Amino acid sequence: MSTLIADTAPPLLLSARGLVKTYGRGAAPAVAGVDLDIGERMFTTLLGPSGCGKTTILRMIAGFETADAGTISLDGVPLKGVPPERRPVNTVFQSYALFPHLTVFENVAFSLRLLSAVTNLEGRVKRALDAVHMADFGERYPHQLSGGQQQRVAVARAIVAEPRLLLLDEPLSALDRRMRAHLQVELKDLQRRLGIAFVYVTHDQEEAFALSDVVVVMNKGRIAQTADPRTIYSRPADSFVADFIGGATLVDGTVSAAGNGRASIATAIGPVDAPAVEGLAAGERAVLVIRPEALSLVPTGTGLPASVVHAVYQGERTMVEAVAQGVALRFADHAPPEVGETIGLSLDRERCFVTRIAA
Amino acid sequence: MTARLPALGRAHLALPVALLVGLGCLAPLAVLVIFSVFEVEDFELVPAFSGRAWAELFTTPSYWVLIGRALFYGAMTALLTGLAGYPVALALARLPAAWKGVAVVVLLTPLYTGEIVRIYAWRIVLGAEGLVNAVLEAVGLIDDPLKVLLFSPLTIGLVLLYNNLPFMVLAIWVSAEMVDRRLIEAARDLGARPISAFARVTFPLTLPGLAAGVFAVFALAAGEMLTPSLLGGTYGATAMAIIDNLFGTAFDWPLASALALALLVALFVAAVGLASLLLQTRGARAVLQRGRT
Amino acid sequence: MTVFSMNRREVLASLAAGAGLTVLGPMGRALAASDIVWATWDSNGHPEYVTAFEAKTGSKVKLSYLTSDDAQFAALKTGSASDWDIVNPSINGAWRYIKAGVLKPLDLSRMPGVAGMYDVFKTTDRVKGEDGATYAIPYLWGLNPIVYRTDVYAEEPTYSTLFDEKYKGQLAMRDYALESIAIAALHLGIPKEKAFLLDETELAEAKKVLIAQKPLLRTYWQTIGDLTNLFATGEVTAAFSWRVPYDALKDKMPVAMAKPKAGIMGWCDCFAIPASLPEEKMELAYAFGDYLLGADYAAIIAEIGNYATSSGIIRDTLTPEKQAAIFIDDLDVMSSFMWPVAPDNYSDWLKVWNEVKAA
Repeated sequence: MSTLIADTAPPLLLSARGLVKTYGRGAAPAVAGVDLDIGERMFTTLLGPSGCGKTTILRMIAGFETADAGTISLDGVPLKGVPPERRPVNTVFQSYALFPHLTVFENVAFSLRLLSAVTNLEGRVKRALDAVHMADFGERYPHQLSGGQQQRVAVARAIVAEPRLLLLDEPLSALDRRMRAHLQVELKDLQRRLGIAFVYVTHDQEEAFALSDVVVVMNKGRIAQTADPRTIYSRPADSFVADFIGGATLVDGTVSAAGNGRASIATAIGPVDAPAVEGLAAGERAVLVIRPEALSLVPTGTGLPASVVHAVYQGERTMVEAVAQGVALRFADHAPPEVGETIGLSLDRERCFVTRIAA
Repeated sequence: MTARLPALGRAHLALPVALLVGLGCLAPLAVLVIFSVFEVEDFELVPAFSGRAWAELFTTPSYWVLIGRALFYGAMTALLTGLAGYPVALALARLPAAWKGVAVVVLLTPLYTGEIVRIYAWRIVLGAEGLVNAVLEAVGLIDDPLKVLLFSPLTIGLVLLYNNLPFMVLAIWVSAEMVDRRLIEAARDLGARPISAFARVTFPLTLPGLAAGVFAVFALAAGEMLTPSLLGGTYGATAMAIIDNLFGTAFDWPLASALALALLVALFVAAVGLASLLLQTRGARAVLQRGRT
Repeated sequence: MTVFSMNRREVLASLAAGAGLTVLGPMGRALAASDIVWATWDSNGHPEYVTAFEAKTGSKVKLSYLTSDDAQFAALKTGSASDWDIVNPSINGAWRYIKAGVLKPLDLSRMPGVAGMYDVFKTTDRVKGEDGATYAIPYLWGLNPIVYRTDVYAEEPTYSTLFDEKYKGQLAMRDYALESIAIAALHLGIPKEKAFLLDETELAEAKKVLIAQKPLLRTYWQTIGDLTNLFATGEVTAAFSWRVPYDALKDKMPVAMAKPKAGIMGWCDCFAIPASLPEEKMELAYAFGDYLLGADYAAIIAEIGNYATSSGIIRDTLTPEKQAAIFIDDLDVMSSFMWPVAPDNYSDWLKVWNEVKAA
């Protein structure tokens, strides 16, 4: 997928520059200087913890919030002063926001009825409902639907007028795990078929990776990293990204040498030479990101000695946490050791990554 | 016997409420019905089972004029408070939380002053030598006081509107607070201009509040006696005042009971009719059904 | 002091409560034999009006103020006024108390003060039952004048002034069938002896002029406080009234009282004993009745309240100004008195009045 971006960069659809938004005097800015480009037909996800500013950006694109500073352009046209109803953008809300007094059909037809001349309204509504497999529910009211069904209707309502851009604000967060997984597949599939650019907001890293062409990781109102999921995972731009993506062990250290995409770092578990983020310099403090797959068991007495503190059975494998030199390391294994046992661990340096400490 | 005990237990639970409803609502009605067919002899109610009071009620047009007037006052006030109260209620719902408390106090303060105080205050404002006329004369808009301001149907309408506006605003306000703000955003997002979002979303979803307001204001305004009699001048006769007069001065309890019943039935039918019309709308039904899924 | 109290708002409440306001509350139930409870109007029974009686007899007079004549009647009729020892029917309403059997026949020989009463009160039949016995003794009276603004009316108004187009919008009538219809009859030229005995044709005539009068009226007044306010605020310049607005406003604006030649509506309150009063209290009750006809009460109520009692006992000791103020300078006024008394066809009167108001 990284090749998709690199080789066939799509035409630019939306471009935001220098966005700033502060709520209330003296408060920390919710969005503190964000540049963002969204390509045509791309599935872009804004990922970050709550309060990182991702929803605010979405609302500024939709027109519900006005930026204190910065510009947003769509198809090269600045959106400043354009009210929500005149932006070729539609939103799928976190709580679906279906109109309780209207049937499913009328909910979906809502935007079409507001247009002065619409041909084949019924056909278009049917098609939108078909696209989300809700064609048989047109006469129902929202309160007669399950959460997943309501979510589908909300999507149908947002795509029926064929917006240039679809915004989705944590649309699956209210659903149970199984329904969520199921709808992720459907959403991704729908986005490919429609060819509409999606901007998706979530705090769930797995969901972001499963759906997105581009992931924008946000931290405290700023963008920490913009890249395809694989790059985000393997080459986190800083310790925040690495930590938020999860699973890895972060070990502090001092860079002893850096260059050519690699760095040597002195840590509590010894010196490690590994791929690194660009621009590190010798003497700088940095972190070593150790992914579970970089660790493997070796016979006791060889490798790095560690003592097992947890073993969590997860079906086909077991997640093990072991402490070496005061550092808790996590890895997976099919034949896990006992808790309390002393083991030997081997570290695959090429699967580690040296990155900056986040501000 | 033992098998019936649980059922009996549950029946006992409902009993106090049933008694309250019976005593508080139905018993006085029953008394009115019974009184209306009695006769008064030497200031004593005699169970004569006479149709005299009802016959007199049906053959005296002025009673029906007054019942009609009560319905008119009620409907007119409901309409006017609805029109005037709607924007106020919506504005209240959009105020920051801290200001809402202040707004409620401002809205309700007039109600704490008491009806008589307010009536005399209106006389000071609207009288021939009152505030409004003094200002109009001072700025040279009029030469002689506008007498129509006080003791006229206009006065009754104005004061009924003022007295009942808080009830309408409160009812609509509560309803407006319950409309999810995101629904309005969704409507805007889907292409609705603000006025259109109001008409298509906010308005239908606040109809239950409007219905409650209409029901309350209609009953309050139609039953109002002091305001028309003290501010309406020679137009101030009300069915309520006549009933009072018949019970007290005339000692004609049967006729008073019959008139009271007729008024009650007319008001009840009209109020229920108005409110249920509003509650039939799909907006209102959606709101009322929300809790049941 | 009101003869026909019509405080509409309180009627139903008082009927329900069954009594007026007992000033002393529930303690009144445990009174000693030397205590006596007088149900009366507040204007007839200021505490200082009875101190002379209390000094003379060593007893205590407890005042229980009435809210309306109807409430008083209802309380006696339903027996909910068991602590009242002396009650206060009006001369015109006395008949219904007598007919309903709620009063004791009086032994006039036990009240020497009767001898000092003006003849018009001594000889009235209105306080006698069909058995010829006397059930009530008039003790306090006055007349209901037309109160008017001397700066507006060059001549003293008559009842016909209240029907004069020239004063449109500044006249007021009382919202009361009995007096208003009688005034219409006097305006039509019906003599005062017949003004309360109208036949069907005369009632229809009266109804016609009363409906024609409506546009001339500023309003119908409800309570005397209401009318005083109307005079004070300049809304009304002449009205059939009580003397209260005159006393209240004579120092603030040019007001006077007119006593129309066609007939003066009088009011008169009576002393009466409830039929239920126990024998041991009769002595004190008679003594109190005699006190009301005596010099002490007459002097103090003339001084403070501007009212005359039914006894001429102190008339010659008063200044001419005081005599004029309480209408006893010219005793001929008594021969022009009309006592508003509900006729047998009173329900027809009420119907006419309701039709006038609903017109």
